[in-house]
Amino acid sequence: KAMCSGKLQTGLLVASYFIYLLVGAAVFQALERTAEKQEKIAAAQMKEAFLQNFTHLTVAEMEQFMKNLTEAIQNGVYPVGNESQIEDSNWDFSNSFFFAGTVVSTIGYGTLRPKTAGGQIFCVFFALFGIPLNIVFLHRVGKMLSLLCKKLGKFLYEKGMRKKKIKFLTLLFFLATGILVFLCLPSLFFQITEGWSYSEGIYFAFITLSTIGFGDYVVGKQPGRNYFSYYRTLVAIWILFGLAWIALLFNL
Amino acid sequence: VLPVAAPDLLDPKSATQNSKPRLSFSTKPTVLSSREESDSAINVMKWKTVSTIFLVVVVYLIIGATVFKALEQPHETSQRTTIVIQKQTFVSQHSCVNATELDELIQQVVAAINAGIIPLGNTSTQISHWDLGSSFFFAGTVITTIGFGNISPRTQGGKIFCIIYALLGIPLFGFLLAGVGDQLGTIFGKGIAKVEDTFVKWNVSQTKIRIISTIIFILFGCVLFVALPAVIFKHIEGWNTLDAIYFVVITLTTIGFGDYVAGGSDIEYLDFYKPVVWFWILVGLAYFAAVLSMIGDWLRVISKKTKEEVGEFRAHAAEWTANVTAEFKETRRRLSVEIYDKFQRATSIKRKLSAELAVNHNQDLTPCKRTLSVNHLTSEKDILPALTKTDSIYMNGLTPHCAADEIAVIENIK
Repeated sequence: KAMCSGKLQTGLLVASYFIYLLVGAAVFQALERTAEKQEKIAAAQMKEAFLQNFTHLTVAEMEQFMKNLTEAIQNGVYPVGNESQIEDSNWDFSNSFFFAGTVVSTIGYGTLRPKTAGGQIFCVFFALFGIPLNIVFLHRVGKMLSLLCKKLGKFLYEKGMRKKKIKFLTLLFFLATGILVFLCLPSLFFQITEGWSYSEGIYFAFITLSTIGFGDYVVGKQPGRNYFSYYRTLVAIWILFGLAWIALLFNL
Repeated sequence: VLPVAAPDLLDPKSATQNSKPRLSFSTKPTVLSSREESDSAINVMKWKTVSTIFLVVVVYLIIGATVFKALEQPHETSQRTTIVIQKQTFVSQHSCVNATELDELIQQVVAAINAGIIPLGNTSTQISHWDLGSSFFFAGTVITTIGFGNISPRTQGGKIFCIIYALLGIPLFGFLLAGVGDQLGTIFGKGIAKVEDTFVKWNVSQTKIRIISTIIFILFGCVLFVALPAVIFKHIEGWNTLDAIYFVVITLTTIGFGDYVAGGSDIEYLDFYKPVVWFWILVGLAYFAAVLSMIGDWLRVISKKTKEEVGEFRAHAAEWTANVTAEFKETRRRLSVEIYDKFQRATSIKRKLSAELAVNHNQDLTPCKRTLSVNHLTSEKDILPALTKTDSIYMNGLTPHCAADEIAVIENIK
């Protein structure tokens, strides 16, 4: 009987999963489709305008150049400015460290990704061992932080509060401080360093800490901006502790 | 909750408590003196564990960074050089185009590509990324946290909805994954039980059976969820073998770079292709979760074994030190008791002797004599032979035969 109910439960879950996806699909489509159309028109117009300005350019030459350009950009190379400006490597130590971090935390932005066969093979094995390691680490940190939680709870209990209220308050406390420290404050920080709007910063913070990691917003990638030396390392530390906070929330 | 009932796997304290060193002199109770102390002790232990693991993670990341850098930087440099040359060629070939206008164009192209639009050919005829099928796909990448990123919301409303959608959807998917994992486990368990029965009949040891079933689990899963889909992707998407396997692993670990996306290219796909891909992702994720947790268990076992060995070593060292100290103290105690006893006896014998002698000679023990007997409580051997040679032993006027007895007594003390 237990097995039967287990199968039924799973069946229900699968059904609700697909329904949830359908609902999401419909809403995203409604929100995004028109904007996409406009962007496509803009891209076409850009090409048109360029061709019109420089009349001796043939369409074929333009297409070829665009193809080369697209390939370069998809490889993470943004050839803006003269040669000296594009000297910064995407694979210097600091960026490689950041990349290793995005692999191990399963965020996987994708703006930077291994292109060589060796890099891809190494990435696979690096992930297979690094992800469990990361999970074990986050689990431990979450447990340690939950001890702090219990201390707070004990303190409140001694003050004479009921257990249910204590549990609710500690959860609220950690939720509030976490949102402040890991979402609100970093977004302010990103406003200054990246030039994003506050809501863009929050969106980036959320997409990163949930490990979804689209890669549409990535730190340290705005062309023409100067970032201080260990900017990305600082961001990596923020990601690490933010993930630990989320692990704590799951433990509570 | 203090880890008193169930000792923590990575807690070395539980390892030492189990070995129970023999402390012969200790009369202290083994119960911890106060809850406060034990709390802080456990906090210290947990902090040590966490910081150790943190160090291991950082070292792991540094190793990864160095290897990635070594592997990828050369390719990137060549790519960079190529595009620079192409740009220069373009400018030189079309002298009417100046550098700033070209840069503007390039920036616009960058923006377009980031929006998911490839500015090649007739952009308006390209398949929309937000038709129902692709939006469904996108919604899936959100709640599985794979997040390929080849498509992402550009409007304000889309982003806000995305956040709310993820907050609800990720836990929902978590439950689903747990359920699917359970079902998979049951199915696999039934199958493996039959295999294990056969092995038991062949009288294979338990450990070997376990190893064999793990290997079967890995092989079977790899074929079903990695190799087979990779072949299908290679065929339909036109990737090479490595790219297909790479895509499978990157997707099923939920990293999801987005450089390769099944169903993301402008190819005519069969109608049921994308739903099948999604079903594969669901089951494959459950499988990978099992594999990753298995690897995590191995890591835990290795770390536990190391901690146990370190803990055992520490316990043995502590036990050895404790025993040696105890033995030493015991010996000293016994020795001092013995010496004291003998000294008492010697003194009483001397009193008797001197009493007898006093009857005969009426003389007290010379200070020399007293010093002699006291000195012999130490282990200085050279004093005795020297004294036998001098006359001090005869200072109190003892007759030789009595002196001999005395020497015997003194020798005894030594």
